Amino acid sequence: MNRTVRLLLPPAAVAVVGLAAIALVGDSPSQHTISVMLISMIFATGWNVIGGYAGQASFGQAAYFGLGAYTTMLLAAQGVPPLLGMWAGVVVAAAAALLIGLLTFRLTGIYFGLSTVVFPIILLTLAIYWDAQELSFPYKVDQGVAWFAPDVPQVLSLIALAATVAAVGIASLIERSRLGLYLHALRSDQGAAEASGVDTMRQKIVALEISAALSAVAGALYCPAVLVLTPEGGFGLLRSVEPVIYTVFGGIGTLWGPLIGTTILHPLAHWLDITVGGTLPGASGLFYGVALLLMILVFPQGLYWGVRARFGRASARPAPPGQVAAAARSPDLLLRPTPATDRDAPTPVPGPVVVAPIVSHAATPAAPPAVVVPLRTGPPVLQLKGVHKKFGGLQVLSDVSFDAHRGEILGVIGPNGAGKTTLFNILNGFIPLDNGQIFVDGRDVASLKPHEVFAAGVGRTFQVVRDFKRLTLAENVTIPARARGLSRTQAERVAADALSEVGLANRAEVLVERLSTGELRRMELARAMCGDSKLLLLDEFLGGLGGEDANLILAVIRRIRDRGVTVVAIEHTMRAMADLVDRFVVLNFGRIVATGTVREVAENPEVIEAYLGKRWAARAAG
Amino acid sequence: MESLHHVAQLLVTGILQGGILALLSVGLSLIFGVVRVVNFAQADFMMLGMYAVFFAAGAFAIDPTLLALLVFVPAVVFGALVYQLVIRRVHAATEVLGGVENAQLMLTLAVSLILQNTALMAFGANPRTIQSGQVLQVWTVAGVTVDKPRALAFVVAMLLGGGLLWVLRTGVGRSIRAAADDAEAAAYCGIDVGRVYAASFAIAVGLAAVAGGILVSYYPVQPLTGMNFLLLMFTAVLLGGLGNVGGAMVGGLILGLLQSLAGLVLPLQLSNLVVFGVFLVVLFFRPNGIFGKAQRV
Repeated sequence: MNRTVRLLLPPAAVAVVGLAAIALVGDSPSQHTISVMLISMIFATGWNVIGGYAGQASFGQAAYFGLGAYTTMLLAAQGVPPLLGMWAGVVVAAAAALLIGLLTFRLTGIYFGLSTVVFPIILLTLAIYWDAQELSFPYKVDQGVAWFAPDVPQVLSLIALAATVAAVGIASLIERSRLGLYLHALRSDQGAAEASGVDTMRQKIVALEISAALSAVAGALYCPAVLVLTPEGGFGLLRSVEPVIYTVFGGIGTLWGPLIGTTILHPLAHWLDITVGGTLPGASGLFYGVALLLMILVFPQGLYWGVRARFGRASARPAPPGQVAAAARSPDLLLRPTPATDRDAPTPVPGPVVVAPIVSHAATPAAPPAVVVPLRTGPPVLQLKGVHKKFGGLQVLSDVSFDAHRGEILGVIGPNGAGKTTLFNILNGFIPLDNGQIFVDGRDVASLKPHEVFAAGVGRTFQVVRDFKRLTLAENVTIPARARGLSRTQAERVAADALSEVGLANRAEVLVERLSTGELRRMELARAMCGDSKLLLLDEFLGGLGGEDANLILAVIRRIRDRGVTVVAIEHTMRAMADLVDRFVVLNFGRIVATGTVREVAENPEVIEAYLGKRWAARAAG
Repeated sequence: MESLHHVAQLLVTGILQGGILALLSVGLSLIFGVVRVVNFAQADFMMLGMYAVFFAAGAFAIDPTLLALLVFVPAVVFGALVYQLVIRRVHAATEVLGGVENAQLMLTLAVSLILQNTALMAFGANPRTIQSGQVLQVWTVAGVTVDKPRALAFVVAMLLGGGLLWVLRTGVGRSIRAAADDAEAAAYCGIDVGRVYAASFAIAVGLAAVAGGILVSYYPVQPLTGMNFLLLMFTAVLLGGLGNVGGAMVGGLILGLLQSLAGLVLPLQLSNLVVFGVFLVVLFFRPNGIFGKAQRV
């Protein structure tokens, strides 16, 4: 019930305020301003879905806006009512978004932003070439609402309001849905999201489709609002920049941000246009530029978060987005000291470790295996056959073959640069192998994408912890559980069980930014377990941890193993590894130089020379 | 024979046009390679250079090409100011904007809006050109006409672009390249990375302004002129490999040629489609440029 109320509150609030404003203004000329403002809100909300929630800053939204507008306009010229033509516009824009998304989402970082700029410019060139210089909206007073009844200005406002309410409803739904959680995860760390089972390409496409559809609706409504459509008005660069400015100003990635930004900036720019615009045509453009500049420099989180942070309303989510995270990652790190974060604080006394039997299996309905295979027997869970990988001229892995059995802990050791992490990255699908085969439970996973490898039962942790920022511990851990198809309540239960198994049940509602390194390492372990994995890949699971934290982690790993999960672990702390693992695989220069128990490996002269040193050999012998 | 002439003419026009593009792109690539900023405002600095030379040519009886070279100094100062006051100050907490890269991209977009609209308010929307004595002068070599302002612009562009490449090989250039390669390591070696960034940005702005200055003797300027060049510049930079300064020069020349030769198959208004096509093909299939070496200043 509470959930439904929170879902419906934003669109309802917008509807009420919008209706009041429309009624108040009546049929004065200002009604037109309201229509245009609502259209901008739809457009900005649409951009926020892809640029904000999904974190894929697109600078080419005009493509979808323009396609919506042109489709509606061209159909209207053929006698199709624009209220109907609008849907055709949505279809055209959605089709374009699918094509553009499949092309551009393969690109990362700066290449993506650059690529998005091109598409509206191409459409602009074509529109000019096809002589669509100026299209006039057919003025049909007697055709009623389907033609937006141009003699009653409230009609367009009401239709635009309905669309705005729908857009806000969609945004509200996204924020509270699985899609929203996935988008948040992939925006925070795409690789970690994929390793947690999220098909990031698919989620981005879905977000872009929603965004394009909303943009097309805005474009369609723009036609009766301005009556004349020009290529610049539909596809121009300024058109692409408009929703970015409104959203960034108001608060990117928040439901209210696009609405706040539009409500403040749009009327001001409009006022500048009608007062000084005649003599100084660039006034409103200059205003937009200055507003964007100041926001990014002073309040990059936007007004919404900025105001909340300043006039500190202690809320469930007090962190100004990404402050801590980004400061630590800034390329500027030379020039600025990294602010002390909670991460540097000493680990608080950890909660009692609750031993929960067979956590993640118990939660799945059909889980408990009928035949219990004794540990370390049976067919191998993981099987590598002749794995080769070259980076340029460097042979990183050559002819790597080994097996790991059910309930076995296999340690992968070797000097830095031996190819250990590369091996993991190949195992979970981050990088393709050149040659060889990888079987998980007899299934070839060598050519699978990371989220498919996850679905095949492989979970992993990272050398440097990769958490999903601005989410709570519980939310972080819920993501893989949802990704394997569990319902919200089931997933939450699995996540809670996993957290209590790693001793973090009492920290579940804390934002990950506030956790210590030890807690983060345990969070990653819980997250990896929530995928119901048969095989866990742990990369330097003790990195940065002291005795107490290390012991906790080691205990958790043993319990996971006792449940029949296979663990492959990279770690440099030999003492801990010697106690923990059943067998070692020793890598050097991408080759396996030895396999076997601690003793066998420690007596191998090649291993001693490459990695252990003489002291270890003496100890193992004695 | 007639068509052969036509092709030869297109080749000459293309190379000359490519020279200016090369000079514009060199700066853009330098900024990306060193400061790691995709500068959307680069073409607007060119526009400012065009206006500066246009007005100076009206006020003083000095050769516009010389004026274009003189514009370098105030443009460098202006560029340094923009870097120190705006670009450098991007807040560390920009994870919300999709990272520092995106924040800086939006920032340069804002700078672009400010420059364009300030120019619009100050100079109006009318296109302007210098009525210089050279405009109508042409050389005819074997039936192919070469107009003098374009030829002069080409020579200046090549000299300046070559000059920058030469500077990058010297002692100063070595610290620039070091900072571009690994800012942290460079800082530990005693290089003032902040100053290298500011200098690179400023030099790039200076070069864009000079390019605009030599362009205005045959190409009309209006506040949005930069928009016509922005995508061309990015395509040239991408062709050469983002951040590869020498590559950007070659990319500019190739693009000028392609754009000109497109006239053989496409109507004039669509000749830019070839550019966009090249942009997309390079982006998707050779993201590190035709030399396969991105980010090497």
